[in-house]
Amino acid sequence: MTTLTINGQQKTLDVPPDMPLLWALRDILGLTGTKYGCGVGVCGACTVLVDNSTAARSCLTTVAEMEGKSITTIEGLSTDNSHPLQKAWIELGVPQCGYCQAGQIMNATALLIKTPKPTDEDINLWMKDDICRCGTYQRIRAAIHQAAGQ
Amino acid sequence: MESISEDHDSSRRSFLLGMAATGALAFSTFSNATGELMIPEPSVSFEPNTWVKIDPDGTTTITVAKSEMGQGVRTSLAMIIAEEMDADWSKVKVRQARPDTGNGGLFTGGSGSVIWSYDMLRKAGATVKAMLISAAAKKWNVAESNCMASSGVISEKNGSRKILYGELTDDAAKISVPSNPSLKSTGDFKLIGTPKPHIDNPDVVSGKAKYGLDVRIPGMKFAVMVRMPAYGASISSFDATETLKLPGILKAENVQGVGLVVLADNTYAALKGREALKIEWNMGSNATLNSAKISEQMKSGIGTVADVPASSAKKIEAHYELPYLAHATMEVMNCVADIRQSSAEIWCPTQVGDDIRNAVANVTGLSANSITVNTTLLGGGFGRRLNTDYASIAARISKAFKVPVLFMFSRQDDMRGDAYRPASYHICKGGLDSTGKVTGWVHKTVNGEASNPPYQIQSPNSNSTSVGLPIPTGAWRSVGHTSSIFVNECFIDELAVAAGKDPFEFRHNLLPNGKLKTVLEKVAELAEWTKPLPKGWGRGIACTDAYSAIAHVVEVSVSNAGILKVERIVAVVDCGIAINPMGVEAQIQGASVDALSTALKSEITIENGGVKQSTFRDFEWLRMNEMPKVEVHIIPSTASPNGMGEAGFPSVSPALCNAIFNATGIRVRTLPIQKTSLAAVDDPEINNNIGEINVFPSPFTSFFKVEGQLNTASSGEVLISIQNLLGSTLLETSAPFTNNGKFSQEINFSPASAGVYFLTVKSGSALIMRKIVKE
Repeated sequence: MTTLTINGQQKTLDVPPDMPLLWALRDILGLTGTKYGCGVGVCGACTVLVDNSTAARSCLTTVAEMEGKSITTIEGLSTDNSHPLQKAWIELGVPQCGYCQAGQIMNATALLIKTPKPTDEDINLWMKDDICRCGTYQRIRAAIHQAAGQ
Repeated sequence: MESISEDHDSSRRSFLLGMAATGALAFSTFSNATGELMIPEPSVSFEPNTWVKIDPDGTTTITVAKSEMGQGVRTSLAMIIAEEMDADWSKVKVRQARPDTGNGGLFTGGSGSVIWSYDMLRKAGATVKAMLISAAAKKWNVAESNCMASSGVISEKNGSRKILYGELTDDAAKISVPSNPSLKSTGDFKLIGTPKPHIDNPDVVSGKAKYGLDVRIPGMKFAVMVRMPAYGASISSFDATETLKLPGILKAENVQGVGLVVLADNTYAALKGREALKIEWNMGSNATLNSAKISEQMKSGIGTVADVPASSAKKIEAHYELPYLAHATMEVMNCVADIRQSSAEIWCPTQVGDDIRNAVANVTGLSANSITVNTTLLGGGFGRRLNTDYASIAARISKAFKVPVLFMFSRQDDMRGDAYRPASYHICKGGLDSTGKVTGWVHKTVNGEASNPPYQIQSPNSNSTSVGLPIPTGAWRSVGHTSSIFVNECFIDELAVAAGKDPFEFRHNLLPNGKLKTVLEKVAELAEWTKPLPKGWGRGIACTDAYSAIAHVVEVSVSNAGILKVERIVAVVDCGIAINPMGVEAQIQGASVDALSTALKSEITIENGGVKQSTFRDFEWLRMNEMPKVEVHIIPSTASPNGMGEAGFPSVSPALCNAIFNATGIRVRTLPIQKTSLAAVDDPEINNNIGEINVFPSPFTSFFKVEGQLNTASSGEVLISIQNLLGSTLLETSAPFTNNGKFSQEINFSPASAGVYFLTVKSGSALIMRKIVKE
């Protein structure tokens, strides 16, 4: 049994301790906003925020490692799309198919926590491991700047 | 915007009950997103056709019959209806058609959705508006000509009365449906031509949007299958003992028509269970097939290639080779199937809802009309979801195990179980007279496409042949144009250079007046074609009218070491009237990423009879730090719209290769480009005063050793990194100095794809860079 906090709510998970957080979120808790892309940490679609500070690839993070931690998924970023990144994503029309965008937004959330006013170079380096197969990078970059108030 | 699963439920409610009750009270019994029955509520909805439903609160639900895979079709098609009916866009919701909802064929491909739907949807919208105007005129007892519609409101032209669409649903339902409503003139468009973010974006950014993998139905289990390691391989025996001991495993057995399947309570258990299977393989007859042999087969299979006229003053010949490409959609292939005794329901991210229904009927023996197919959002399509394999498999598993299942490919399954863009080989021949005029054009291909170029060239000779290979191929964004236009636009550039002409002028002189010539002129102007560039920089141009008339200029810089930077891309398109310019721009920017990724880095190769690549580590995609600025200019037009899903792809890669030639004098004719060294000199960053390094073996396949000595450092450690063609760092490690600045380190670079890379060794201010080649 693992106890952790997901989007502000305490949850107890009765799953094998080596189960990646990704599958616990999607298949056990029904939080399907966090996406499966590669399962080996190279695409970024499954990114979540841990302890409101760092981004983690939930496909490589086991449930056991998250004992006592606080996880924020895309569903917990706001209740009404009011987070500055969500607003910017909508206004600038970032998503195409949209499948990778939860991961993009969660990683961008971690970036803005660490670097509230990122430069293009900061964004390029921070976001370079998040693949968008539709190729929305240009608008992602613009949306991060907009959310940062730049 | 409600989430897509609710859309399905509301669409079912409307179609099952609303359709029968069209023009009358519609009592709705429906389930919510989790399938829970809700209490019937009386409502008066106006639903004059299968495309539009207006509720009393003004909510306007528009049916979209094409699949949303990122091309923005749920937005653009809804905009066409909303335009003609003068709907309030903020009150528009979209529901997804099913094969049985009377909205025509669901096939989504060939960049045809807007082209095929435009007239029909305009009429559907105009019908609704005409009926609302009739209803208002009757209510107010005035002439219809005295009523006008705007943004969800009918108002009296010569009076002050106004009424909302939602307040007219009951009255409008009593009006007979007009057969020939008048359409707007394009000059009166208010919505079409304005930039609109995708209508599903609020659901996407909140995590509510439902893709195929997100479908959850009561009792659903999770299934994966064992894929063959080589084409034609089979399982000679297997042992599932260890698998069946694992938690969450329900079954591990053969399913007819599928092969070995693992069924589990969750995805992780299914994947772990599959890993634990002990399988003996019969590798089959293709076990020694590899990419080198395929290349040889294509080259020897090209047969006779025609010649250009013997009288040509100058003859040139060039050979091009393109690799297999995977679709690699972000969402892997999957399908939820609930096969019951005499009916079935399917949830599937697919481009072909009708074909899915037929495929499921075929493998289950059920009649097509007993099968309900729900198209979810697609996490990318690019042509892969024109196939139905994933749905047939899901249906067979659900039928065999008598449970609803979510069947999915893992990323590796997906990359190795694709229907690939074919690998192809091309020979081009061209002739020029003494003035540089083209005297002949020959393009022959094996397994690719060769179409005539759009230029005024006498008797162009384009033809194709094929050699049989066991690798399945399929439609991949812009399909045959991925090879045909790449080759044509590279070769016309080679002819221009051979003729001593500017590549833009050369094309321009050969094009008849029309859209293509106009976009070519415009792109040259916006990209400042004639403006001098610094040393090491270059520009390339290419154009095509395959889908919409489009032209690209790509600007690159190449360092002495051979590191490439795509500095800028300018695109000009004439796609007829741009329904949603924001969507057109997105398609062109996105197609640029597709084209740069596949031109520069990614390829599918065959090894031991199967696909070698397994994930985005060895099938690499362009990254944020490699993304150039893509400037898009849309030529204003009121002509009927063309499709934009594929138009943005074909001319980018040739413009890129032409730019590399312009910058370096190196003609890249084999993709991906990273297999060719663009270095002006071999080891440009080595300064013997700093030290020296040795790399061996060279070239290498997986591992190599780097050892050497840095004269300026004797303590601490040396930082070792590997950069790709674009200068992005792919690997970083360090090694301690042993003595006198000496170091030695073995490096595992096995996951990366074949190509030219750069090894950087650094300590303090000392830096040595060396080109390395991975085979």
